[in-house]
Amino acid sequence: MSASNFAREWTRAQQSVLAFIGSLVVDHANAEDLLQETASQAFAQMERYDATRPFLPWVLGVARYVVLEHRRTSARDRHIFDDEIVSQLAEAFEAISNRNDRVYRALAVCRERLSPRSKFVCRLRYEKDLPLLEIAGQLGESVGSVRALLHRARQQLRACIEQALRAEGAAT
Amino acid sequence: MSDFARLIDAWLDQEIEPHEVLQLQEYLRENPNHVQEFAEQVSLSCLLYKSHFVAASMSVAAAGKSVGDQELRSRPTVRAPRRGWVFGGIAVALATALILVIAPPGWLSVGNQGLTHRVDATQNRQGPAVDAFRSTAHPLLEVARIQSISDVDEATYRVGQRLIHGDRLQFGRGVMTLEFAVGATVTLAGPARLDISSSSRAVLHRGQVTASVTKSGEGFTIVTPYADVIDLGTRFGVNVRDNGEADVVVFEGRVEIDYRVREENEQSHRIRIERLGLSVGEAVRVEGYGNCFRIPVIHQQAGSEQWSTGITETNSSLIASLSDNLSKSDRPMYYGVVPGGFGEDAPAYLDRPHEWNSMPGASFPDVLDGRDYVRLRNDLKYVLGLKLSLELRRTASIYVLFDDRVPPPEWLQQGFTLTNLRIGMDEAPPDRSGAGWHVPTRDPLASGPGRSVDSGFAVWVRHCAGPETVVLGSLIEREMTRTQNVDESSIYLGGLSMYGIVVAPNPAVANEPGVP
Repeated sequence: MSASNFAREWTRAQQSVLAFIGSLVVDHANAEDLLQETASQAFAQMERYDATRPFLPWVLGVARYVVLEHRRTSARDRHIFDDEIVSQLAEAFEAISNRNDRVYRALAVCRERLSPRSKFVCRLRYEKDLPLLEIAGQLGESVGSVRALLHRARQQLRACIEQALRAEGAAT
Repeated sequence: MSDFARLIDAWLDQEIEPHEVLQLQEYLRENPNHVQEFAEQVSLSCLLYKSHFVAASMSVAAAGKSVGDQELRSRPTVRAPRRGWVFGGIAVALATALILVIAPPGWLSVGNQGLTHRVDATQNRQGPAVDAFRSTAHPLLEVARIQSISDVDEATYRVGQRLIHGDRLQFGRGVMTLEFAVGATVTLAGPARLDISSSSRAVLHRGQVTASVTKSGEGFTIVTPYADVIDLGTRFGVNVRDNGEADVVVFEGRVEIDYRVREENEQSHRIRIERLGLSVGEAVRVEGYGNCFRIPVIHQQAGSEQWSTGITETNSSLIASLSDNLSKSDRPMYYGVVPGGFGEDAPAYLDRPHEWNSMPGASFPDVLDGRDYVRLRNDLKYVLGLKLSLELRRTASIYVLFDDRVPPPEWLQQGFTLTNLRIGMDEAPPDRSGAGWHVPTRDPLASGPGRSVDSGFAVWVRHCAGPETVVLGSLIEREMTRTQNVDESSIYLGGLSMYGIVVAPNPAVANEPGVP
């Protein structure tokens, strides 16, 4: 596989790879570090990749190895599932990988439909990466209330995105 | 809300407990739809991070910001917005691949860990295309200062150079200061080899790092062969030798050390991680797998970041060694020896920001000015029965600076002579780390002679005729607590200060030929 092909394949796969790592590692910042490590290692092993086969399953395998290495050397992130579940998750992320771009586009629209309070909490959570306790402190609310607000916001976003994707499918 | 939904929320909000991970795993195992649901939710969460990062970047780039932006940014934040570089990081990961496309042969080398590529920062300027590309990548850190580095091409490093994931810094002698975007300033002293893993993680193969980390950079990690040193908002140092041994010193705040322990049996071995918390004024050496030892003395250079655990050309002092009778179960405290560092505003302790000063209206005692001194932990005042052995390198005088508010103990009265010299201390109010010592509210520290002095110290002296070892005792004698019928555990020394130690040439022989 040439380097330019690798760059192209990686560009397509990276969001699914990040989500896969995010399903194995709780801390999102760690997941992003491991994504970078996966990119490096995948490139270093590029010659082992059989270009006649799909790229995503192969690079998810590299990511899995990177996460296991991280788990071995880190006492901080011990959350990980057994092999069977990890394989099922890899398959699940492969299955939804082709809709990432459409979901992302819909998300941009759906975010705007959230209430101002939900928007603000989402920004503290996802832009500032603040834990719930600190969000609660900033808002002067309980952690439980922030937790519920985030849960509702994500549910609303999912419903809105599904609706947008259905409408897009009907239109095409 | 179902229990499964609650567990997914706990995962997404990074609140999940280990036992809940097992519960979540059972839900995933029992129904493939649960796997699909979990994957979709995690995927959406990752896209939310991305869309917020992109929106924030665009709003910063735009000339005007919305009211919402300003409201959000005006609030104090505790954690760093790591996505500031992280989705940049995705770009960087891709950048790594793209650089490979346009880089000339030899631009990359396979690191000694086999799979990990390393981009040598020495190759940062291999052509305008690479330069242009790197200038668009989100940098993880920047070279802020370079002092007399050797064993590299002169053009290799430059101030303002931006480094990304995978870059390596390597040089012989000299010092380089690095500013990590996450909020850490790192001084790297050679001979050094440092690999950049992320905006908050670097692998130190060799050399000395002194890191000052702001609250936003909490979690900044220096990885060494046998241990990871994780910052908890502090200033700390790590020195790695060629054999992989690492010395870890805490100057402010607190760090955690995840050190690796090797467990072997006949068939196999495995590595597990043990954690050790280290506070201000504590230092350990990690030697191989699972071996941590207290470092008793740290040599510090006055007014500088430089430190070492051994005697070097530049830190030789009249003090040959310091040891004590603290047991192995005690905290791994160290003593800071500062050659030639005693003077106006000299830091008094390791665990307090208090400073030594001349008394109001008096000049700084000549005999003490510019002499070697020891920074103790002020908390040592609570250690009854302390025996502190100070070994002199040669003929010298030992000065003990003793708090006026404390009755002089017998060891001091018998072994030392009270002089008519006096020294003051500028005591700082409790610091932001909330160390919690109980002093009355003080004015902030001030600079200069006699300013903001809160307490006075008598100066005692012992002139030693040769390289002898002198044993100093505790601030309060155990016998005193007994005679006054005070329970040791209830003794309250808040507001009082541990003594100070200064070592100077013995005036009786200082002027003799051959005595430096």
